[in-house]
Amino acid sequence: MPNIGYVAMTLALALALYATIVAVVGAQRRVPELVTSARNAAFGVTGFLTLAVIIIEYLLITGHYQTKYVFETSNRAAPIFYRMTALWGGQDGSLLFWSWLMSIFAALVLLKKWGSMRIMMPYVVAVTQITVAFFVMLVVFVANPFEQLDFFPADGTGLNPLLRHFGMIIHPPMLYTGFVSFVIPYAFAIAALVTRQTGDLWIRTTRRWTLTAWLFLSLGLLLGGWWAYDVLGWGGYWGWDPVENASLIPWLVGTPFLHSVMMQESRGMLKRWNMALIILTFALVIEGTFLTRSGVISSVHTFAQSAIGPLFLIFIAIMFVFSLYMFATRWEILKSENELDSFFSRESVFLLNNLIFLGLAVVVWWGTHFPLISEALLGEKIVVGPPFFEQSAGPLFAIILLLMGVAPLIPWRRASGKKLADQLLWPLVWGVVTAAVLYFVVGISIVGALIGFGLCGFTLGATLIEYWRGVKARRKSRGENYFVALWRLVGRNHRRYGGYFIHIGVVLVAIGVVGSRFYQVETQQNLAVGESMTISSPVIGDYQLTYRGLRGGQSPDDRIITEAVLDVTFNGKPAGSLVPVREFFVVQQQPMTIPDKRSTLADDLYVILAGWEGTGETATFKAYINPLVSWLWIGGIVFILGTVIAAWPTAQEREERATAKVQLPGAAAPAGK
Amino acid sequence: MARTKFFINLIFVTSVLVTALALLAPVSLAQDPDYDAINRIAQKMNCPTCTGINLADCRTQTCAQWRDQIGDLLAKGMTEDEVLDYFVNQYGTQVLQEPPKSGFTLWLWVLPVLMIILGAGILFYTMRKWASPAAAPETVTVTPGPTASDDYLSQVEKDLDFD
Repeated sequence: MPNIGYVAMTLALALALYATIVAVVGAQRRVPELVTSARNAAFGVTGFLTLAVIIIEYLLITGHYQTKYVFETSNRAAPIFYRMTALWGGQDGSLLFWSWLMSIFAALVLLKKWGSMRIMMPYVVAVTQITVAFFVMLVVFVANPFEQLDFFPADGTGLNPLLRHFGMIIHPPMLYTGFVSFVIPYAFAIAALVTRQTGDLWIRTTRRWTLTAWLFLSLGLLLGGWWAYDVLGWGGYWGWDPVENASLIPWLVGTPFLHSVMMQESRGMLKRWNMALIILTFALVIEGTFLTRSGVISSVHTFAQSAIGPLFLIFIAIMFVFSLYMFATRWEILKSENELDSFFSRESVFLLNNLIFLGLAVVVWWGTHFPLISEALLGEKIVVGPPFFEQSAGPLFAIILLLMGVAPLIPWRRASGKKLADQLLWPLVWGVVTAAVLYFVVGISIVGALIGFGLCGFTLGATLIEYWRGVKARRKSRGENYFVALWRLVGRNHRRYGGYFIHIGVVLVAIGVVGSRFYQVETQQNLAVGESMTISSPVIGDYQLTYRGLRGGQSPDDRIITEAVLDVTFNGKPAGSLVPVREFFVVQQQPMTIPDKRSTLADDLYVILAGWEGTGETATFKAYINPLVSWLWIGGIVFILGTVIAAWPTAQEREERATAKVQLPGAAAPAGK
Repeated sequence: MARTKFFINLIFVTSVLVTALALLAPVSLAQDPDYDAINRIAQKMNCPTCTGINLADCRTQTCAQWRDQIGDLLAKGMTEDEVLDYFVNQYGTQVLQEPPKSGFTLWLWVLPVLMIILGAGILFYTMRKWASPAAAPETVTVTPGPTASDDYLSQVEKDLDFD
């Protein structure tokens, strides 16, 4: 059985290489049969990888512990669900999973776009298949999940306990999907360069794919934060860990790309820039995978050091050099069709947004790689903790928040000063009133928090006004009531109003971040049974926690569970009880601290059991008040909904796609330069 | 009156005793360390064994010992800065979560700022180059005047948009 899996992977590798070569040769010599053959080979790659995945799943579920990967990531006691998801619980399996997902995306895009994009398609096949081939090569030669042990273990060592959480089960697939699907816009970009199709065809074709990639990447980031908050027990959701950063960096470059392509579509500008951004995004995706897979930077969730590092570096270098060569040789034909009309225009705000996002990417990249650089230059690994990232990225995020409010209000091409002032007046009032109310009524006095909340008020106001203006215009011209007007407004332009919906989600996330960042309080105390501790926040109130004792037992899957019971009162009134847990995984000899929390829209009370003496006569607890954290998750849901709306084709688009060809915009470009 | 005097005496005797005890066995006196004070300092330090987590949040044995050590230093009357200095002297600046803004690690802080300034410069230069030819023909732009009605405005915006 494992041999079949290995053979399937090998065949997939051979077919992927075949597809790459034949696609390029077929396109250069203009032999359509060869190109079709390459496409079919790409489907074959997906088929063989699917077979390999089915076999490894079979081995995991049936407990074939002679297979090293099964031995290391699964055991008899594990529920079937965790045995299945062990596919991405370790290095070898997750690389196979990665390759499989990417081959699926490649196959999907070939199925959907084959007819309409004949000229570019061979190169799309080539780029996706060479990338798949690289990852399959890793599992075939270096990280083979079908490797057999030379003894017959009766049981496996089991999955890393930290990974036994629902968030952890869906977080990696989301993140991987986000990562791998960026290969589609990248492949089309390269295909556009090779075939000198410098219009926005590649952007329009891949818009929805890019949004989907971005959606999954965002989901992966959100779920990762949720998992950390729920399981890791340090009271936070984002630790600036290298692996978290590795997935954030491509997001920070992909997001300005999603914005600046609008400038190419509507104004024919920024062609070079968009090319550069998508190349950079995909390079960072591969580099991020390298960081997390190779173990060069240690983190909570990297797998052990392995030999795949150098191979990755070679692949990144080849990919990057090839992309740059293509880019440079097509530099002249990528010239902008339009000029910038005015400094006061949406174009300028978009450019500024690009600058700040890239600045953020530089900050996070540099901070993440600094330990490596310091080790190379000084021989010592300098640890870069959250303070650096917070101090450097915080102000930049604030600027993004501001621009997010300004951009929708300012028209393309040129804004008159007076009109702009009119537009900005109400949002500014909202922002200032928000900050003033918080200062005078609620007693928020930290300057950073006031600025943060004020910006949230400003941008939320600006975004809601955009909806309001649209609804009002429809009411006036069509006589629709408010709900119908809103529904049809969004329905007519998913991209625009879905985009604003995303902005609202971001503002809500920002509210959660600002609240918990500036007003988190924590305390740690040792309590005897019956004793109480108090934790108070000046803006939230006082919680009293009374220790009632420990209880415990052993679960069927070899965990020793110790639970502490605490009665809670909030401002003197009873507020239920909390049960923080300490689990000890016997097989792995690993403890886990699982917090319990009381969540409201205002705050979370978050408690962990830090330790105890004897049979629980006394126990130590760490408690946090995290203000407004719930808004982070609510904002996340709004954000995801908005992305789905933005990606959903409108009725009109569906019609257009069925009949017409895509029109080229910017026909009447001024003859500048 | 007598009660007050008794109390003053009691306090005096107790404090003498406590001081004596403290001198004799400083550690045994500490009944419950001030965890919050310890954590405040530990948050600014790295876990010595595992990376990516600060000393206050780490649950390993080594970290617990380091935290106890912070407690002992605090009990000796050291301030927060003195405790941090103590650890830096012992183990180097790597124990700090926040690398100092001096020496080699200054590059950590300064380089991104320089990059952003450079980027802003390039952006400004490019924008000016782009903007200059269009500056003359003011009338070419399609921007509606401030008198335009809302309907007209939304229509124009729709035309400028890309559905």
